[in-house]
Amino acid sequence: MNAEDLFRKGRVPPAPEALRRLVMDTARLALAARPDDDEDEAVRGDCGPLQRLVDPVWESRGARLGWAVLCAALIAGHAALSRHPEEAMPPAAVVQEPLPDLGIDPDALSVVQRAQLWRAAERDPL
Amino acid sequence: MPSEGLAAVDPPESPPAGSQSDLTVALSGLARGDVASLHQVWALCADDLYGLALWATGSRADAEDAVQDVFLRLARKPDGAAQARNPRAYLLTMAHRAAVDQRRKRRESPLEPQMLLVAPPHDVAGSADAERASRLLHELPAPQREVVFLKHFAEMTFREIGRVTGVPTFTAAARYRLALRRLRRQMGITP
Repeated sequence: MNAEDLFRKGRVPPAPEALRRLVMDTARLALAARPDDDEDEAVRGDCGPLQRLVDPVWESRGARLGWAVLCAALIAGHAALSRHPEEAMPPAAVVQEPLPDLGIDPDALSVVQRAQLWRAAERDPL
Repeated sequence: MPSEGLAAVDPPESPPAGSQSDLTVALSGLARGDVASLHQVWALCADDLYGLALWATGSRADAEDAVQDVFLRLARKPDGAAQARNPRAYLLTMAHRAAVDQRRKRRESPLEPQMLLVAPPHDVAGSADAERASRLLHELPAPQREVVFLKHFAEMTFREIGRVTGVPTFTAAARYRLALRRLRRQMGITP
């Protein structure tokens, strides 16, 4: 007898009738107990707790727009700051130095202008 | 009859005609909450699910628990199965996982080996053969028994068996080959 002939010696036992009745009863109860708002969850699938938390955020158009605006603002801010760092934030030590006497009221100058004047005076002293 | 070698790994995938679309229709009905569809799903696939669970666990009680688990999950969330491209393979995958869970829960083998094959009614000689066959099949490791069941009784390709049991196609084919080799050795057949 071939090994494969072994499988022709019989058939696989069918699911018992008692099991059918039991399964039908419990499954019918589960079907009836299925809440209507379960639909969303069923469509979303059996997801983890993190996805359950994140999904509602992405399902709202306002939330998506908010995320987009926030990201754009962060990117624009970063780009603006990294383009002229010395102008946006002059070193404090430079500002504290006394300006050469040029006949200009230092209080009338902005911080940036004072820094520029100070650098110019250093390059080309009077 | 499928060949033992790996060369014959993938005959064209051929789900049983008719039953696949019937199953899809029944599962769609179930997704809408139709109780009658539940009976239809049972009629179409319960024997396959029970057979797989029985061969995977080697225990009738565990197989019944596994099938009940599958149908409970199906009643709670039928959408996955209803939207599956191959709903029969999807349900067999659920049964395989439920059987693995049952096996893990039990940890030790069932006390008395269950009949994995039964003879047609009133066939006394066949009954002895079926008993002997069951005993030999019980000697196989559960993963190999599962592959043999899916290949011979569920008539799946090795690719489909791999998807159902969560292993590569090659592994499914290798398990089948090892199972047959082991059975031959047990039966005293020299290759």
